[in-house]
Amino acid sequence: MNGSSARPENPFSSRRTRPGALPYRSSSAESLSEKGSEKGSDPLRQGAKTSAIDVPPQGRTPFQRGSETCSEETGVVTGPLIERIMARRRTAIIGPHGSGKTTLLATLCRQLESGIAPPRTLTLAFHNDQSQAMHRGRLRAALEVAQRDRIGLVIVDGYEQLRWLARCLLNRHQRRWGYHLLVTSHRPLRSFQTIHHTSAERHVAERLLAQLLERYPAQEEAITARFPAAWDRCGGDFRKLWSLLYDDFERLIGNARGRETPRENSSLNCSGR
Amino acid sequence: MLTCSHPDGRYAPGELLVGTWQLAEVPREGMSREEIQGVEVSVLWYTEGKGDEDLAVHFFQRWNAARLEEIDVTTPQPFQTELPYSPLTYQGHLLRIRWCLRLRLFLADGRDLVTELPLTLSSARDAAEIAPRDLQ
Repeated sequence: MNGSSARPENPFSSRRTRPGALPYRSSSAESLSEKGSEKGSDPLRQGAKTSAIDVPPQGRTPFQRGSETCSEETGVVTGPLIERIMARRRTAIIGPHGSGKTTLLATLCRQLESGIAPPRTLTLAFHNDQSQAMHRGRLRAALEVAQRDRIGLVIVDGYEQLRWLARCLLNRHQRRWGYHLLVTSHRPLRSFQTIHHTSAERHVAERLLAQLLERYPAQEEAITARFPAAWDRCGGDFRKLWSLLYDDFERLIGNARGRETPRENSSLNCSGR
Repeated sequence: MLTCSHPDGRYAPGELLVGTWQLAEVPREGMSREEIQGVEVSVLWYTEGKGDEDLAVHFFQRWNAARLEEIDVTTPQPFQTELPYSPLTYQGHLLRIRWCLRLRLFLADGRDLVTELPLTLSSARDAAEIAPRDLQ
């Protein structure tokens, strides 16, 4: 229906690869139900049994499901995690940058919302492109809301972005009002129970790649051939991986003809904390 | 089903978009007439590319359950809107701006179904067709 000059949607665009658009995949069901992860074990190496939380990608086929309330998700893998979040006051999801923490949070939030008695939830995301003053301002406003609306679960994505003062403010408030606090961080945190470690694994990336390229048979072979080099360069950061493959895809379809972005610069366009 | 006045989906800035929607089969398999809680039609643009995303809804119209009772959803339901002058459809390396016509169907169980019709808002095609008329 569109003009013939329209370029195909890049399967690695933010729209397709942002947290929540892709499913959180783990190679082991046990990884999400194990008790505690303080020992730093890598859950993705804990067995060959494969399970995945499959949320349909946000493609644009006619009459797709629009609000990922798929039965495949329901309680299969995330159930134990949710139980542990609600059984403790302070829990954390730990993992390096671009390893899927926010994606896992998005999945957990959907699971919580579809539960029988979902807790009132407040989610805050902190990024490194915001000032500490802005962080504190947003945090104070959010804590007032949490108090006023009797929020049962406060989720803080990017806890490591908060400085000591803001963390004290948050922790004191949580102690006083007794809600559950779930945070994501790059490193384990004192006084927080680590409930899951995320890490980017090559075979998970390959599965996601295959999923992203499902509707692109013409480009699948060429992009798959470029995957190993992109994986080596991304350093286990999914965001950077998708950014590199985005550029590869653009080159492939000729959209960047005559003004190709140098490969070395492509990672600069990675958004992230 | 969504249709718009230009079969190729190409429109000029400021042009009137006339469209219709209809549900071809109601009830569909496993779906009763009462299950449809609402229908929303919107004309919007969104960015696609790397980094942050942007989106704006230019036109929005909702048919709620009561309104749907009064009409025959299997016949074309008209709507129209005058398109803005910007942003134009753009296709760059880092960023694309896409326009689309979107129909969202809300079901009683909380699910919603979405279908989209891509549009192109561009002045290039219309230089010959629109400009002479406007200049008169």
